[in-house]
Amino acid sequence: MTAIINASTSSGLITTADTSGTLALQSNGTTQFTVSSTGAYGQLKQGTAVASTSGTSIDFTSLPSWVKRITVMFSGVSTNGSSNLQVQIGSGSVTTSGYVGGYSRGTMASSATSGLVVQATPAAASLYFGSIVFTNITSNTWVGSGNTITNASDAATLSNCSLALGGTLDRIRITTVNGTDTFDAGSINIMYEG
Amino acid sequence: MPTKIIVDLAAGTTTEVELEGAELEAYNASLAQQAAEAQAAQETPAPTEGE
Repeated sequence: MTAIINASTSSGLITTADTSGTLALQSNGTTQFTVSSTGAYGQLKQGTAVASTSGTSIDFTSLPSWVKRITVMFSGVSTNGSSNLQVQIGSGSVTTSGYVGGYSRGTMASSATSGLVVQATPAAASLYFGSIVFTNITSNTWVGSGNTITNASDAATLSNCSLALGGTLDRIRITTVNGTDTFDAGSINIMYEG
Repeated sequence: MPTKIIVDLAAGTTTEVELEGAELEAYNASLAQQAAEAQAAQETPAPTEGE
């Protein structure tokens, strides 16, 4: 059951009350926005920017089940090594394999199976800028794409991938392929919507 | 100790915790692999001129 506020083209405003704790805003009988105990569908939410100055990974957890698109933003991000920076998604835990896709940077191109590569062969002193997006294409299958560049005036890294999760996406991780390089500059934030 | 940052969107909290369990094992395995690769690179003789 759902409480409803419906803007009807024939009858005007129609309200239907119940005790479900869920409210649907409808346009002529079609739900456009839902508010429930677990969140609201149809809105854009922004996290709080995290300083990427320590740690080998940054996890954003407890993403709502209604999320259909996630944007990860990088501003002046750097690590202390040259391992590729990558983004991974997960359901209950982070999925570290099975990604289908790859990346290119200038004339270099490669496949990547452990995540969506954000920045390829970075120099330790470089700062990364740009964003990547994961979009739910159907069920628990997600498609990712990225476009980033460094402050070194070199070629952009372009990347794409697809991954079918075993359940509802609830987390996203930013880390390096070797898993040992440590973040040492910049900030990272996400936006999510459904 | 290696760490990771966890942003819990539902709780609105950001914490930095030490790696443990499988994640710490993977971290140590990656370090060992990098050391082995560096050692192998050092032991590989550079090609002489004309080769």
